[in-house]
Amino acid sequence: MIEYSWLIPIMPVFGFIICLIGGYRVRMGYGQVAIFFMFLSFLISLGSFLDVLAGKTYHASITWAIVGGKEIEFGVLIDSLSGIMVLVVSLLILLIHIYSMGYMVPFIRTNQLSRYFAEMQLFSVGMLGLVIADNLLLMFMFWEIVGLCSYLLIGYFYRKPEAARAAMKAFLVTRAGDVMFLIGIIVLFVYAGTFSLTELFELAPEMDLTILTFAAVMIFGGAVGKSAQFPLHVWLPDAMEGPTTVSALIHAATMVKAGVYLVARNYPLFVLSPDAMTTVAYIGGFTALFAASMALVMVDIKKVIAYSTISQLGYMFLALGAGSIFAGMFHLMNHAFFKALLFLAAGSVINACMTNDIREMGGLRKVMPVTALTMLAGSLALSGIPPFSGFFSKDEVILSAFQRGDMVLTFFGIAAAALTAFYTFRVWFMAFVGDYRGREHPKENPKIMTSVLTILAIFATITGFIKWWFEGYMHHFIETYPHEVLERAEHIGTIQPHLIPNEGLMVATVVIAATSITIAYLGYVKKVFDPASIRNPLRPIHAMLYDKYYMDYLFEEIFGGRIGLYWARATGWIDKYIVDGIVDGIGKTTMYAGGGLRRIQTGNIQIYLSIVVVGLIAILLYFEVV
Amino acid sequence: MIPVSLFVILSAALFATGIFGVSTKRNPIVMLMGIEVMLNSANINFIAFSRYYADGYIAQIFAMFIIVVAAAEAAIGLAIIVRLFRNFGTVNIDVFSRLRW
Amino acid sequence: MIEIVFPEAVISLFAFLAVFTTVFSKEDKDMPAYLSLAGIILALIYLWTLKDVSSQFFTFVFDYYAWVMKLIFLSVAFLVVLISMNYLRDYDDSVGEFYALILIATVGMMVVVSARELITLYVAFETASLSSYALAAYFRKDKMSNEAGFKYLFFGAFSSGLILYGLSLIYGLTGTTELTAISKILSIDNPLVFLALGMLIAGFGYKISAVPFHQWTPDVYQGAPTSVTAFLSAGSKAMGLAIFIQVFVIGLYSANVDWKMVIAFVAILTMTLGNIVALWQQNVKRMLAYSSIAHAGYAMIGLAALSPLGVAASLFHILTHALMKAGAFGVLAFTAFKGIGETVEDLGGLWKKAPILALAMTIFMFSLAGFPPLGGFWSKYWLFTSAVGSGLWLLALIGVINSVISVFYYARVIRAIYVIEPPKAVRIGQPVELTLAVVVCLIGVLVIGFYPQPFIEALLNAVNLILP
Repeated sequence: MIEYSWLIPIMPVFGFIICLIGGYRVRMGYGQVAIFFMFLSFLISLGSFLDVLAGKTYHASITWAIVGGKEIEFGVLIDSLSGIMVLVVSLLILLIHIYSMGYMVPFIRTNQLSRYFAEMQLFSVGMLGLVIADNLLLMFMFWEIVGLCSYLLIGYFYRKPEAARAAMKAFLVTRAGDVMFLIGIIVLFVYAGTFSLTELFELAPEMDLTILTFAAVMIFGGAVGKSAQFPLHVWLPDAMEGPTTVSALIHAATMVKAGVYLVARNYPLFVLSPDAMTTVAYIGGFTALFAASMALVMVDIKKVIAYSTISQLGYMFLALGAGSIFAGMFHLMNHAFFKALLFLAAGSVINACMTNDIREMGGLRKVMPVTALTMLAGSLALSGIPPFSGFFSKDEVILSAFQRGDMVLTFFGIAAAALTAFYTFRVWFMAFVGDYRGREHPKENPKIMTSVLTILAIFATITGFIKWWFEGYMHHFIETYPHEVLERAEHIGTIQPHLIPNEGLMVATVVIAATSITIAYLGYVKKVFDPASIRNPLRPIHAMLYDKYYMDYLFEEIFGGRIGLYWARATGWIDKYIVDGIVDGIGKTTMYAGGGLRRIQTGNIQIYLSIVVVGLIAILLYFEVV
Repeated sequence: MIPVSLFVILSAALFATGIFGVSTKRNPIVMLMGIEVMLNSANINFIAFSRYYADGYIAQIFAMFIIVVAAAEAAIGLAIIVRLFRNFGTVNIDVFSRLRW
Repeated sequence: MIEIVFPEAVISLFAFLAVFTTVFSKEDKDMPAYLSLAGIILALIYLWTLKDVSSQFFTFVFDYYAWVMKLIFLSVAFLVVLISMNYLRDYDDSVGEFYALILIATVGMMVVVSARELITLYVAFETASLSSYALAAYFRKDKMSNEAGFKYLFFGAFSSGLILYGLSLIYGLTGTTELTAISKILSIDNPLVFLALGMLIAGFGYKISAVPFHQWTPDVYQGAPTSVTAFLSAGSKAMGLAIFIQVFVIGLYSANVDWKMVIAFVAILTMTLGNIVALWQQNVKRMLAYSSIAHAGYAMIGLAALSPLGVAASLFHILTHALMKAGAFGVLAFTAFKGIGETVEDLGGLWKKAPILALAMTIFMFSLAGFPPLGGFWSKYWLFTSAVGSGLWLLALIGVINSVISVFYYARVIRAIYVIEPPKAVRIGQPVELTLAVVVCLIGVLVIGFYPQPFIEALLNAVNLILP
């Protein structure tokens, strides 16, 4: 089957064309078409993966252009890394397609579903192509398609001005990352003369270390934009304006993972440069902690999960930077399932309650048992409670930092784990326990949605157990790197092929996570029995004030003082005004500069001519000086 | 024999006069004259230089072509100025700044 | 030997015929257009047979470089005539002169790329320019068109004054008008070389609208008839770049002056100003004019790099830019003569009104923004690669940043087409000729995008021929 792996991204192309030709007509049928083609893609991915398991790899390419004696080849590379990645991605996209069939029903009347499915299919093309591409330029092309589709999908509800603005923001911020990626590619091409990944890995040890570090950091810059790492994370919380399935797709499985995958794919380039690895690890570790503390204070269920995603992606980069591709990829896969689950469950809740605000939920456990249970599984996995999948991978990530001997990184990892457990269960308790505080009459969603949730919940529960197998699998993969790369990397200590289990660390992280959950339980479940909020269920303002007070109390519990609260507020403030402000500010400065510059276009021809003379004199002065 | 530098100085002075005329006069016809002066300063250069090279006739041919082109330019310029006068009722160039920013 | 001028001769003949038809009937608006198309096709066919010819007729040189460039100019003229057919059908006066002027301008451009000598170059350049001035002012009763023609003419004449003065100095220093001969002598140290070079950069910079010699561009592009704007943006700009290459790369290659740095600096200014001012524009024609300025900046990156790949990438860029802009202005010509308007909001709901043109416009915008794998991506890609290859890191970096900024305003157009709902969106008939022209551009952009090899290869061969 592996010989046909090039068909994987081709299949959705057909679906895209069919849905596109469908034009503006509203028919659910396009969904079935899209699912059909995605299913074919998935089957081929599965077949290819089985071949990979049997020890095969596949690399085929065609020459697209020869320019100045340098060939530009495009092709497909299926090895252990891309084999398993393409399987996970195609499975998730398939599940999200199926879920969309149920989720998008209420929107049939107002929006064009064929457009939705066309965009989804194009997104799948980009994502699957990105995974199996065998060279950087091709990766970049699919990378851009992915970015374009996420822009279209976030802005799907285009009549909402916030959606349009969020889409634009996501587009521009990730483009900033793309620029760095492209610069990295160009630098590598100029100095190594090839785009091909395998050839680059062969050539990398001979390249100048400064150039290599620069290129690697630039490629990582692309990943920072796409994977919403500090300081380019600002687009992701805003991107929550899209339909929830879209958020799930973009966040959980695919688009944000593209950045992590990009680093993992180019790992041989990174491991040769200690500085690049350190950059990756620290940006990842810092983002993990920073975003987790942001998630503490959000009341919008989707935003909590969005910040949580940023934080978990930080974990993956932390692991990659610390030298363990196994831990990074393992967390990526587990996270793909449990975060998709959390998003889809959140979508299910939002569909039922018609609001994103967790203060207006509560007690949903009784009316939506399936959603409640599946989301519980997802939350336990995210918090890192054994035996759910997150436990295994998070443990490996922290272990990789610990084993590297870097205490700062280890602290980032453990502190973020504590916060993660707390905010996750804060959401779960507020939404599912206690009494309902909203005005709607929530009820369980259609079967098609809950069945997807169930499948994902099963995955979230069990995928952790592949750890032992997966460790060997990735270890085997690392051995396929060029010999010189491995030797150099082991010599300079940037790579950790083996992680030695550390029981003390494992117990400590579990205890910390469990304590956080207990605190959340004490706080939010106790609060629910408070008569004040039962008596005034229709006064959200009151509840909000109460809630706020309780939050303060809880923070005192957690951090043993008000410092913690101030810190959380401070990070919130910094994020909102400084980081976001700088990103926005650059945009605004550009705009105003344009506004000022166009004033020289006065419309008077003689002023134009005078400016020509000034320009001429400037050139002559330059010649005179040089 | 008059040194070539004198011719160059003359042409430079004419050239500057032309630039000045084009960029300050409010009447497009006078601007057009400024442009003619600029072109003719180049002609002076060509003719002056032609004496110092064996195949100097090339420069003289160049000057002829410049004169022809300048005439064509003036013709089109005048035609446009006539249209401007018909449509705007004036030829003050301050008026012709509707296209801007 | 004389057969190498036949394409130009054919075009000139048909230009005359096109005017001649107006003697019999001013009402027949299609006859001159068909004649022009016939002339262009004949010339194209004849040109095709000259592919491997390398020959000279007096000062008229024909080689592979000239052949490639002539193909581009003829194709642009073909597209512009097609666009103009629908656009001018409702014009209340004779249109024979219009097509004749387009053909004459094309002849000028074609001779420019065959010129290796200053007199020929200058006369051909002026032939193209003078026709363009008249074209810009063609709508005699339209104040905007008048003003555009006025500004274009004065700016152009002023610049040709600068060019001539520069050329006269160069002649004075070298005693020849042959570009290759100039190149051998000009390595002397003389302050007049500075003066001459500065004047030439300023004078020819106007034609490709390099900042700060760009200011006519937005005004003329906005005011001129839209099909003329397409012609200026696609054809005239390509000619400007060709002249730049011929004069600077052939003639002044060895000049003892650091003109490459000036070009690099001007390129930075041009890209940046074009892009950030375009952010503010509401009128799409004007926005695309600023985008044209920005693209001139990109093209100059390749000239600053001055490697074979860099110069070829510049030409490649001009080729893709010509296709994208001819197509985009073609769509705007449609909206203009159907009374839809030219501002971003006016394009709202174009998807429903004219689906083919809307789709084409979308692709053009994506390509202009440099999205892979469209034509615009490859040209930028090769330009930046050549800049890095020549050690001009900063230039490449600023180029890439600029291409990010540019996405913002192109995205506005796309958003308008699909998102803004006009009060009433009824299907409007898409005229055959115009749609054909736009679709040809679209196919060109897609073909170059998916299979850029033969194009960049041909241009590389052409450039290798003329580079010293």
